[in-house]
Amino acid sequence: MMEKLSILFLSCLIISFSACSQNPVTTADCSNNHYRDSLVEHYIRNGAEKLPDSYNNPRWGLYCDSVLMVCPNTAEAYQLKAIPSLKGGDYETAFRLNDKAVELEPRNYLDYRAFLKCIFTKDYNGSITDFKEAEKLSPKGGLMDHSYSFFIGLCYMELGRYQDAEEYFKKDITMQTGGDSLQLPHFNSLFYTGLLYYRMSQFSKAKKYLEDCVGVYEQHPEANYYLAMIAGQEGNKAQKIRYLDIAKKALRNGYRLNEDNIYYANYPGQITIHEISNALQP
Amino acid sequence: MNRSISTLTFFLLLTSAAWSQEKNVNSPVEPIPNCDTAYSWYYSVDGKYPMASESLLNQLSVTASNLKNVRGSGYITFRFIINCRGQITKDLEILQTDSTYKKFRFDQTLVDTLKAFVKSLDKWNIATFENGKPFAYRAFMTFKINDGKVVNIIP
Repeated sequence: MMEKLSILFLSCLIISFSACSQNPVTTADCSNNHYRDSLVEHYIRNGAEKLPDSYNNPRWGLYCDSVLMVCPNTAEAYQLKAIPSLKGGDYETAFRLNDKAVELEPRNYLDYRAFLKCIFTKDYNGSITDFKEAEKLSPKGGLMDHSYSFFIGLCYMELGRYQDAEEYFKKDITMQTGGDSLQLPHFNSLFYTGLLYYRMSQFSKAKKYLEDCVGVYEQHPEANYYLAMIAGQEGNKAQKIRYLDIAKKALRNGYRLNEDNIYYANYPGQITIHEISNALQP
Repeated sequence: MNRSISTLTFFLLLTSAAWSQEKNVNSPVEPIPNCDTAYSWYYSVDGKYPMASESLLNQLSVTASNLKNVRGSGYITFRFIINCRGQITKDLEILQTDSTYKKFRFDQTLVDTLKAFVKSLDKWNIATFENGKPFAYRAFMTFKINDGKVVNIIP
């Protein structure tokens, strides 16, 4: 704590000296995007992001503070400063900082906060509200390889509002394929539509989407697992075991849902070896 | 502008380098003698608890079925260290917020029940260096509460 304070004190001192020195220095033009970008480039891209262990390094926050000390209206610095807290389960700090980023630049950070609420904190109602607002700002927006509709669909599915989830998953797929049934969307758009129909007990539809998913990504552990569950429902024990074996082997060989944040938080419907082993028990 | 930024960076790096040296915080390179000293986070070692959130929730529902008259919505997070033997170390840090992520205090009975549940989990992955030596890592488990009922377990 003392060390942090001395760093901040020294930094303040330097700024004061610069301001009072005889040599003219450019004053901080924090209303200028290019100026704020230059601070991010200097302190984050060429500073924090080059630290060993990146955001796990204790100095990460100091670099973000350096930007904020000069321009407290730099939304990106708040968002980046929040990363260690978010990934370490300190949601009070993480959301205080992300809220500030959203307040400063809703167009750039509202969808990200919506994503955090959907995947990290499972605040599905809050996420839907944020994503729908974000959609007004960027009607065809998306993040983390998916459309806003994909995440809204996930949230509705987790809330048990299956008709709404279906509407948004269809919208997500249409956005990717342009309505061409020969075009295949992202494998996880197929997987989650399949999972939704599985939860709705519409097994033939579920099977179709899950089979399309493994057609694109053969080792998809969850798609194989839920195909096994459907085979079980159909009384096809051999098929069930076959799919479970594929899922188990895939997980053991390191195959995953392949979403960016999978190492930090479980995605809806995500399984582990534990669930497969249970399902394999007679 | 550039000059003041450079000077500022120089001082920041100088002082923080000294700080880092003093605290001796580094990435895992050398084998560690202390089994309880965390050298990493769960996400760097594929260390999420090896059960689906839904399965954990089912397991918890057996333990927490006696909880009544508990109120409040939000999050209770337990942060802890998984030592080199894959066990939770004694000290758990507890963070509590309401559903808008502001500080909050839940009923102590609920906190104690969840704490006992976390401490009962015994299938944590053991993290190892490339040479096979095990090391400790930091992890956490968060319970999402709606009107006193646990509805989700994170991560």
